[in-house]
Amino acid sequence: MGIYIANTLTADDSNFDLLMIFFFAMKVNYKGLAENSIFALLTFIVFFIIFEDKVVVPVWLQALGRLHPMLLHFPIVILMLSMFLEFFRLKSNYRSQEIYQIFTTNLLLSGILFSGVTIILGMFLSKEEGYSGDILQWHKWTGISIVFFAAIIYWLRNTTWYSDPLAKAGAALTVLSICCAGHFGAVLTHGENFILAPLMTSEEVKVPLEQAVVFDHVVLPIFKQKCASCHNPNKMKGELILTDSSFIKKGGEAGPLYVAGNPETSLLMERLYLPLSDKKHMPPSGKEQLTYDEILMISQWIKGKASFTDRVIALPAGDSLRILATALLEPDKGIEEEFKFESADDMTIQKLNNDYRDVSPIAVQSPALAVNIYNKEIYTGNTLKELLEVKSQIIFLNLNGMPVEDMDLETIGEFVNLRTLHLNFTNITGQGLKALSSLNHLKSLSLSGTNLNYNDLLLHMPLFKGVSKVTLWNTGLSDTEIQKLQAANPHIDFIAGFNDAGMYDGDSSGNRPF
Amino acid sequence: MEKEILEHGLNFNRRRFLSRLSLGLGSAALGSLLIPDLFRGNGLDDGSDLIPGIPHFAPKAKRVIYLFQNGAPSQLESFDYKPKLREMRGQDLPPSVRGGQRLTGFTANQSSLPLVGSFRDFHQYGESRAWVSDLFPHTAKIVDDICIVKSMHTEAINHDPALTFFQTGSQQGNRPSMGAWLSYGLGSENQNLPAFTVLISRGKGNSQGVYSKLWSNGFLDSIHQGVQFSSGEDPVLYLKDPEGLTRSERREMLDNLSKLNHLAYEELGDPELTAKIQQYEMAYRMQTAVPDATDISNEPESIIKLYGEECQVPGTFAANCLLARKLSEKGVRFVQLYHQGWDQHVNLPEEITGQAKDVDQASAALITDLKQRGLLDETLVIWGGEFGRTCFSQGKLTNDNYGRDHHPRAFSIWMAGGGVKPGIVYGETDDFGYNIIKDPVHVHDFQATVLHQLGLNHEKLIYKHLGRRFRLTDVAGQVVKDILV
Repeated sequence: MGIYIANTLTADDSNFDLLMIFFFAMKVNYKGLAENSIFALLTFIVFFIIFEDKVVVPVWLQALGRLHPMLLHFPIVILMLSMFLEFFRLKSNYRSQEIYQIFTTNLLLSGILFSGVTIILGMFLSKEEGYSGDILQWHKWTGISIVFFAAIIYWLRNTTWYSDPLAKAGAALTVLSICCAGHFGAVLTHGENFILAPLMTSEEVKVPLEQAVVFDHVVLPIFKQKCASCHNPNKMKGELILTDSSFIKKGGEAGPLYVAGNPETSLLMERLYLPLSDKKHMPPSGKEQLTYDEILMISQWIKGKASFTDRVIALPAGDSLRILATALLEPDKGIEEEFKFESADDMTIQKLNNDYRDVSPIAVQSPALAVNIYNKEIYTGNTLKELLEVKSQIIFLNLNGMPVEDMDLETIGEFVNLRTLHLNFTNITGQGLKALSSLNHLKSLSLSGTNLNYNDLLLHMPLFKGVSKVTLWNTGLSDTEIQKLQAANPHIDFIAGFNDAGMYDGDSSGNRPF
Repeated sequence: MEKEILEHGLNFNRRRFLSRLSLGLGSAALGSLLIPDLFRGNGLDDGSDLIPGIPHFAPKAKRVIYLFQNGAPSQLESFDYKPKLREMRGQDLPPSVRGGQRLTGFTANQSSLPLVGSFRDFHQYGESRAWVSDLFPHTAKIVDDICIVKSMHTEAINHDPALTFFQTGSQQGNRPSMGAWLSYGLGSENQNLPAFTVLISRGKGNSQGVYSKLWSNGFLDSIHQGVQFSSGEDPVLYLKDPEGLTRSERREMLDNLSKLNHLAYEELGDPELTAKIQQYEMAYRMQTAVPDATDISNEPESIIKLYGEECQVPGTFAANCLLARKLSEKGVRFVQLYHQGWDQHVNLPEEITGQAKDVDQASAALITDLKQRGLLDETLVIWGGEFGRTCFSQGKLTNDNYGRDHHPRAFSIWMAGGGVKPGIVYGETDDFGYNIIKDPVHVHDFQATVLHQLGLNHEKLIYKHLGRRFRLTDVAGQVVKDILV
């Protein structure tokens, strides 16, 4: 057959010629040997699977086993390529090409050899400490399946009943096995989600500060992020698992992780603080390191007796762990209020804006609107009625100095999400305020400079359950009346302001020198 | 010239073409190597997708009133109480405290640096127990509404660079002022008034000049420039229509002028022309809005008492404070006040007494007034100078007289409202008031904090100019979260 190939080649194809001679020679001298080796490897693998628990790997074989992560790349590439060729092998125009046939056969043969050796080395490696769990099992069985699939294909592919669809199915199945085994192996080495991690948003479920537990929500997330790729139940480097409190309490091969209350003598801190060049430094160089704050937080956690149940808010106010944890858990503390309503249409907002009515979103991508109205000559009740189009979006409304009448408050009463309402120096009286009592979210109400009636206020103020501040300066109410209102509505801070008598409001004793 | 006009018409020149090209796929790939954040999943970006005119996040403060005490008031005679200086009166400043710091030409050649404490006593006030000098009796009454920062420090040692640094983030000038940045970043709340106004007053003390570069729009559009209100009877000059010109005639005139300007713009493409059209329109609307905002005749009697009789005299600090409240109330984003005369190199006791009297009552009144209108929560008020003053006397220390030189290493300011924690004192200095020993706040930190309270991320409020991105805080600044509610 070799002679036939040589005859078909032209003289210029000398390189190709050489390649062919290589394979040809292999067939003549080594092919039988290779086939026998494969049989031996498969037997050894079956033996290893059956007696796995009883096998003890000697030290010198351990070193060999550690070549597994290097060697595995060969069978992946070789088998992938041969399965690609196998896929099209029985197509009519390739069927007759001897070169194609021989090349594929030899490629497949070497692929099987490599995968057999890789699997055996992998089995040695798996006997080392630190490898266990579901992922390892998946990796083992998918890996073993590769060599068996490939071997079966090798021995059946030249039978007469081996048809084109069968060849395609076999090739596809083997490739699938390679992909699965490769994936599970990568999960063992790099941790889960290694490839997509940079693309994933770090949006985690936010825990309210009040409920946050120091260990669960501050310390454990650091371990999970920076340590768990090697110290997880699937890959327990140093017999240490850092994904679960029970294992963290237990420690690892080198002993307990920490001495509660004493970070200075804790093994964990020692490993974190060792210089990066030290081989015992953790995380190993090349892996993402802990930040200064993260190390500090772990250290403070150990210092505080390494409790697994303490809450963040139970720490003393000035405590550095509390400050760091608060900053971590509430990076935008108090800045953004979440609004649950839909945004208004941009065109509607634009239409409502004019020289004397400013309607703008409070922030980029916020559905909430703030409205300011100016120019008392232009203002009419309709100025407000037109805003009904965005009645659920308005959270801030400033009508200071506008001739707002009591009846206009009916319209405002429909702005259900209103938080702040300024009605200073408007024409309202206390009577109309009842219309605003339905505003459940209202927090701040400014009524300074209006002509309010004490009895109306006394009647209506208790209806404003959520309001925390009302300004009553310059409203014609006397100081005693305001004090009575304050007594009747302790949840509201009534601001009386500065009056003609030259007195500041409230208890002035705090304002005198001591 | 024709080429330039053509380019403007196309709005596409070589530089822009090249910068557009960078959006190409190849450059994007390369760019992602150079700018690691480019393809990050969590939406980090350089802020270019943020729309100027809308806050980045929900703001605590909607407006700012900045009571700039130009000339640098002494922290040692106002809010930073140092009894040690009285004990050690006349002794030399220990070299260990000075740490080899360079002094200005005023005091570098002095044979001794005699320590001197405040000539007036300090007392503690309010629930915050903050120490306030007797020179500021009204401010003492509002300590529970303000946050005193005793640990400010700056980089400049002379007035003009320090003032320019505070206002524009750069000592050299020609950058946009803080008010211009806010106008750019937040837009106007009221289309009838400028978003950034400037009010200037002057005390009897030794004063330093303020110049229009401090309220410049820099490289931003001219509509963001600060508008200086004059200190006379008419805060804005030539606002009234001339005799015989009716309102409708004025309107018709402006409409035709605008048409002409539009024609010129189409031909020349100069963006300043659009700014000009907008300014004419704004001026027209200001004709009704300004008299309404500046007229104090309808203010209640108690307001005059609150701010002091002086508030009826145009051009005084008190009048400007009242005017600032009225403008701010009408939606002016940034009202910048300057009160000159705080440069007490010599004759400090007498001069600072006058200066403090000028500003104390009106500053406190402004806080009270905003509070009683429910506006303090949404208005950030800032009081302070460009740097501090030395703990030793400049010139001869006598029984009743001394002076203080410039000191950029530590000084005090206060802030109130707009989501700043009321009733706290932040930061500490050593026993000499010379070095900060706790929680230093740099000028850029202060600027970052102000922007933050207005809903702007100081790292994202950027403007591209001359091929680079500019920020108010340059490449520094950390929001001082500890003083925020």
